[in-house]
Amino acid sequence: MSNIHLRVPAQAEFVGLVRSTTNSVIARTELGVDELADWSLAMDEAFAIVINHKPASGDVLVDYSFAGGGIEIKVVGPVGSSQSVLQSDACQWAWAVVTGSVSEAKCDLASDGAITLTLKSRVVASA
Amino acid sequence: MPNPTNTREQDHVLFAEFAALADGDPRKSVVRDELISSHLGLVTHIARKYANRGEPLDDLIQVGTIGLIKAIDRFAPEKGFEFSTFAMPTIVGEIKRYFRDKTWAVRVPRRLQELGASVSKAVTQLSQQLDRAPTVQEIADYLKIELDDVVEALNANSAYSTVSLDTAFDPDAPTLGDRFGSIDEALEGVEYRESLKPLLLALPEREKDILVMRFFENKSQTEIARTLGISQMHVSRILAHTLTNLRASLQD
Repeated sequence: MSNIHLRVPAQAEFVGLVRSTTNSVIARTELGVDELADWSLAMDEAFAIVINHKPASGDVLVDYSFAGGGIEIKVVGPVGSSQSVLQSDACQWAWAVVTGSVSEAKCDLASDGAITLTLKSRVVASA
Repeated sequence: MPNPTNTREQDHVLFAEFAALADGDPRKSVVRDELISSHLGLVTHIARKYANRGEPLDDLIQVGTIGLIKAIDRFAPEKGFEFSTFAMPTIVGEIKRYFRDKTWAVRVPRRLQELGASVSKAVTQLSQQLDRAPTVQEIADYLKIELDDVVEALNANSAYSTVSLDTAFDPDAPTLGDRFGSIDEALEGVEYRESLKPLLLALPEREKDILVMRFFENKSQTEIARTLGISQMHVSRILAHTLTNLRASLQD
């Protein structure tokens, strides 16, 4: 399956679009429905993290790629975040939910303040 | 053969035996099962009153039975009440809570509500058959519908409102927290910032139970659903509601 790319404004009201797209994409993998539900929760929190700085402007990019029946999703926020944003209680808890919901999660903060979250499911061997 | 008519005398004998047996005694679960089956008619009777409100009667009976079991475990025959009088509020409370948890937040077309109910039932049945959560494709194959229809139902699932989850719980009803006895201890041990801990501790018992099971005991949503006797989709809704509220509180 080819990679899928989604670009939405960095505004909270677009989290539903990201969530439903994620559901639709994960439905095409070999992951179970409880993992799909976990990914929904994780994406809500991931989106909240990358747009956590205010005012949030610009876009959020979501890249979906596939491997072994599983999935990797990269969520890239707009510029302008800082370490202090990531250290906030809201971000720390959101990150705890993300890491508790997916198999692997990585957070990178670029020098321009763009946060990149890379989330991976367990790899499911293709039948 | 139908169950014999439940009589006052039978109740008294069974409840007296149930109360006298130690918790680990294998006979206790046998007596408990007898008590459950002899009072299922009461559950069915109550559940029928709530039928035709968009939820399958079987689900209402299942939920009402949870109330019945709670009532059996808490009933004290020496207080002189009839069991049916004692059990009815607990059974009704459990069914009402089920409805509160499943009230639609936005107008969702009836087709989608019914599709959601079918998908939820399919998830439960397939989980038992496969001993794991089914994939969306497996659900679609099972229901003989398109994969995107299942996705649509899953998306609509998030339109359920859980606004009343934190209200109107029966204050006397034993919660999972009571049964496990360690929910608050689990949260007390969490090394999060001070602003988070009180929010977690203040969560309604059921939300707290589910959050702890998912994120602190690392149980899957399917396992939590089995533990609580509710559907995985219901667990998913409650978790989403809890996390949304926590996020909003933390961002205030």
